[in-house]
Amino acid sequence: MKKFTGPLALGSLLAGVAAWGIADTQAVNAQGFYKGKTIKMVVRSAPGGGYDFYGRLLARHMAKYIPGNPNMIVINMPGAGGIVAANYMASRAKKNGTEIAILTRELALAQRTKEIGVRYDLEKLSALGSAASSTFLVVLGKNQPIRTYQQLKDSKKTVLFGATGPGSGSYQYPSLLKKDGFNVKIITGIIGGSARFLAIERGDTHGTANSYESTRKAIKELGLIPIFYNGAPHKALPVPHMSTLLSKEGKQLAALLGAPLAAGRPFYTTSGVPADRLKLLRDAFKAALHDKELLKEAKRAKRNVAWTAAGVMEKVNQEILGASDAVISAYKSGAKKVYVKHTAPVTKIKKKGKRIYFTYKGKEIKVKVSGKRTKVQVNGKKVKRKAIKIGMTCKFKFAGPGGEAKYIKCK
Amino acid sequence: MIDAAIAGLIGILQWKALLLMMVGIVISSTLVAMPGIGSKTAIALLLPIAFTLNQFEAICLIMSVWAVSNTANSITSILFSVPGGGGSQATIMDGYPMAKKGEAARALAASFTSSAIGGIIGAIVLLVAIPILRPLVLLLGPPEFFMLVMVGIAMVGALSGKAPVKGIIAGGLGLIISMVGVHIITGLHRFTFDQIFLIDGFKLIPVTIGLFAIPELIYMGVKGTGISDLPLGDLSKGRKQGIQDAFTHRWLILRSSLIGVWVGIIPGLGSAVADWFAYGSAKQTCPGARETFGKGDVRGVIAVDAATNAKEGGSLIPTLAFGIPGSSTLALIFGGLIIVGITPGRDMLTKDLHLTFSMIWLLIIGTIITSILCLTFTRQLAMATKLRPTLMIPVILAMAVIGSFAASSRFEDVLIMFAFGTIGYFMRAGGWPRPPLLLGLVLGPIAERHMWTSVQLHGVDFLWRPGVLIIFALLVVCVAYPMFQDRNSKLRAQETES
Repeated sequence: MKKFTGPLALGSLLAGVAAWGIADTQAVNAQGFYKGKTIKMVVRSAPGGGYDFYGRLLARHMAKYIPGNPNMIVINMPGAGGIVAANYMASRAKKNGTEIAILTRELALAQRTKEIGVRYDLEKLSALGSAASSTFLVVLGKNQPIRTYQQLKDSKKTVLFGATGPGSGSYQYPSLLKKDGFNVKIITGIIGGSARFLAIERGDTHGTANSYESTRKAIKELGLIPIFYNGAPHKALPVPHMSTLLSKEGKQLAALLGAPLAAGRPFYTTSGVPADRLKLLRDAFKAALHDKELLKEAKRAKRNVAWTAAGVMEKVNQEILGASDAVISAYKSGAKKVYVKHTAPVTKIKKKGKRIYFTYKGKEIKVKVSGKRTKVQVNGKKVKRKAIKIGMTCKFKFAGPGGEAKYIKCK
Repeated sequence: MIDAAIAGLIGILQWKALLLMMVGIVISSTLVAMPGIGSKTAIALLLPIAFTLNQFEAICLIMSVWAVSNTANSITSILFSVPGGGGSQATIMDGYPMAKKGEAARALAASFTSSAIGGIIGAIVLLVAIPILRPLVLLLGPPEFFMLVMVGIAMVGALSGKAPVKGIIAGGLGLIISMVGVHIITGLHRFTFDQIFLIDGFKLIPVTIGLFAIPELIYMGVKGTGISDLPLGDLSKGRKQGIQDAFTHRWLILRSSLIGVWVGIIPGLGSAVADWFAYGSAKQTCPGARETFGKGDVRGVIAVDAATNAKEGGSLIPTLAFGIPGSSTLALIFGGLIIVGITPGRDMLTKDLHLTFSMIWLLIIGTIITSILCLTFTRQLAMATKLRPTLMIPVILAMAVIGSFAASSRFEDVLIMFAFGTIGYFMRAGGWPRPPLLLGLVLGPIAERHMWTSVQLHGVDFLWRPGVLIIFALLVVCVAYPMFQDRNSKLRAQETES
C-alpha cells in the first residue's frame, strides 16, 4: 500500500488541478466575457462638463450590472466638438465591447452635414442608449438691450455668439439663427460653457447656446437672459420653443437640431460586438439608470436622468441621416454669408462712401462698402467707392441690411 | 471673513479629515511621483470614495492629492532625468546635473523646501486675492491671454543659453509639432497623414521623457558608470545645505512663486509652462546664472519648484471666482466636489467662503507635511544615484516606457517617446537646447486658439487694447533686460581690463 502513496498523491494532485481547471473554466463561462476585464469609458469632452458627469456616473454604476463585474475607467478625449472621440470609437477602439463612449448628441447631424474632420460612420457604432433628455437654450447677457426673440430678430447691431467649434451645439444654434436672417456672428475657440459665460460677462460676446442643465446656474448667478429653447420642454423656462418662432425653413432646421436632444447624453460602443454581449451592455446601461444610488447622486448634482432605448436613438439618427438635401443645404449655408441682390437708386452716402443707403423692401437700408473686398463699378468700369454718387441706380449684392456689399454696379 | 477662516481651519483639523489628508498626501507622494501617473489618475480613482464623505473630508482627500503632487514629482527628475509629471520638466535642467555632481541630497532638499514655501506663497496670494478675484479675471480676455502666452514664447531666448538661433529653430520645431492633430477650432486634420494615432497629436509626457531621459540613458551606457561617479559625501550635510539654500534665495522663491501664481490664473497654461517660465526668468535675472544654469546650479531647482507649487493657489482663482477650472485636474476635482454639494462659482466667495478657506489651509498644511515627509527620505533617495548602470538603465528605461504609456494608454506613445529620444540625443550631442522645443509644443495651440478668437472679436485691432499693450511692454522688458545686462557686464569687463 505504501508504494502506491507516491503515484496516488501525484494522481490526486493532477486530478485536483484538472478539476480546479475545469471548475475555473466553467466559472469563466458563467461569469462571462467581462470577468477581470477593464471597460474604457471614453468621454467626448474634457473633465468637468455635463458629458463628463454622465460618463463618470455610468462608469461608477454600470459595472455592477455587467456579469463578471469588470473594472471601468474613464478616459477624456476632447476635441473638435466631440468629433475626435467619435472618430476614435469608429476606427481605433477595440471592437469587443470593452470600450464604450458618451459621444456628442450632434453626432448624426455632423455626419449628415459632412462636418470637417468627420471620419466616423454611425453605421460603425452601436447605440447603448441615452442617459438624459436635453434642452438647449439660447441665452444673452444682461448688459445688452435684447430681452426677447423679436428684439433679437430685429437687432441692427450684430449679436456675437461664443462657440467651441463646428460640430458643437454652441456653434450650430447661432448658425441656424444666422441662416434664418438674424444678424449674428459666431466667435469660435471659446471652449466650455463656463468660458463662454465668462466671455459674456466680460463683454466680449453677447450670448451663447448651451444645454439647460449647464446654464441654469449661470442664469441665476450672472443674470443671463434665456431667449428660447429647443428640445424637451422645461417647467422652469418661461421662454418659447424655438420652432414656434422661425421661418418655415428655420422650423425644419430646428426640428433637425432638436431630434438628437431626445437622446441628449448618448452612449455608444463600437460595431462588431457580438449580439449577446451588446444586449448585455444595453441591459446593464438601462439597469444602471434605474439604480437608486445613481439616481441619488444625479439628484445631488442636480442633473436629470431619463433612459432612452438604443432603438429610439437609432431611429432618431436615421431621421437625421435621412434629412432631405434641401434642409441640409439650408442648414449648411447658415455658416456662410447669405447674399441678397437688389437694384435701386442710391439715396444717401455717408463716411466718404463707406456707407451707402438705398430702399429695400420699402425701407431705407444701408450697406457697408469695403475698400478692399467690395467690387465697385460705374458704367462697367472698376472705380473707387467714392465715385458712387447719390441718384445713381446701382445693382447691389450684399449680406443683408447693414451687412457688407460684395459688389455694387452703378449706371 | 475671519470667522470663515477659522471655520475652514476647524473643518479640516478633525481627525477623520486629517487622516484623509494624510492618505491623499501619501498617494500623491508615491503613486503620482511615478512618471506618467498624474494626479488626475489618482483623483479619478478616489472620487467615488469622496462621495460618501462630508464636504471638508472630501476636500481633504481629493484636493490634497492635487495640492502636493508637484512636490514629489521632482524626485525622478532630479535623480534620473525622467520627469515625474508636467510640472517637473525644468527641474531636470539643474537638478539632474546636481545629482551627477554627487549633490542629489542637496538638490532634493532644496526642491522640497522651496516647494513648501512656494505652496504657502500661492495660498497667501489666493487669500489676498479673494476680494478682487472676479474683477481680476474679468480683466483678461482672449487678446490678453494671447499676449501673455507670447511672453512665454519670449522665454525661448532665455532658455536657449548661448545658442539663440538654435533655440529659435528648436522652438519653431516645437510649434510645428504642436500643430499635428485635429485643429480644435475648425475640426481640420493637420499633418495627420491619415494616421489615426496622430489625430490626437503629440502628448507632452512621452515627448519630454524621450527628449530628456533617453539621451541620458545612452550616455550612461556609453560611459559605463552610474548617474554620479563622484563621491556622495555626507548626505545629511547635503540635505541641510539644500534647506539652507532655499532660505538664502528667498527673494528668488518669492519671484518665482508670483510667476507660478500668474501662470495658474490663466486657464489652460498649467504647470507644464509654469516651470519653464520660472526657470527662464531665474536664468535672466539671477547674477551669473547664464554661466552656471544647466550645470547644476541650485537656484535653477529652487525657482522651478517654488513656481509649480505656487501655481496651484493661482489656478484656484478662476475656478473659485467663475467656475472655470484653471486646469483639467481642477475640472475633475470640482466635477467631483459638486456631488458633495460644493459648486465652484460665486457662492465660493460668499456663502461657502469657509470651504474656500479650508482649501487655502489645506494648500498650506498639505505642502508643509509633504515636504517634511519627502525631506525625511532624502538620504535614501539620493543613494539611488550610486547604483551601477547595469541596474539603473533597465529601471529607468522601464520607468520611461511605463510613463509614456500610462499617460494616455496608447502604445504609439511609447514609439513617440523613442523617436523623441533619438531626436533628443542628437540635439544634446549637437548643443541644441531642448527646452524651447517643449515650450513651442505646449504654447503653440494655446497661442493659436487665443489669437483666433481675438481676431474674430476685434480684428487685428486686438493688438491695441490697453491690457495687451501693457503685457507687450512686459515682454519687451523680458527680452531687453538680459541684453542690457549683458552689455553692461561686457562694458564693465572692458573697463576693468583697461
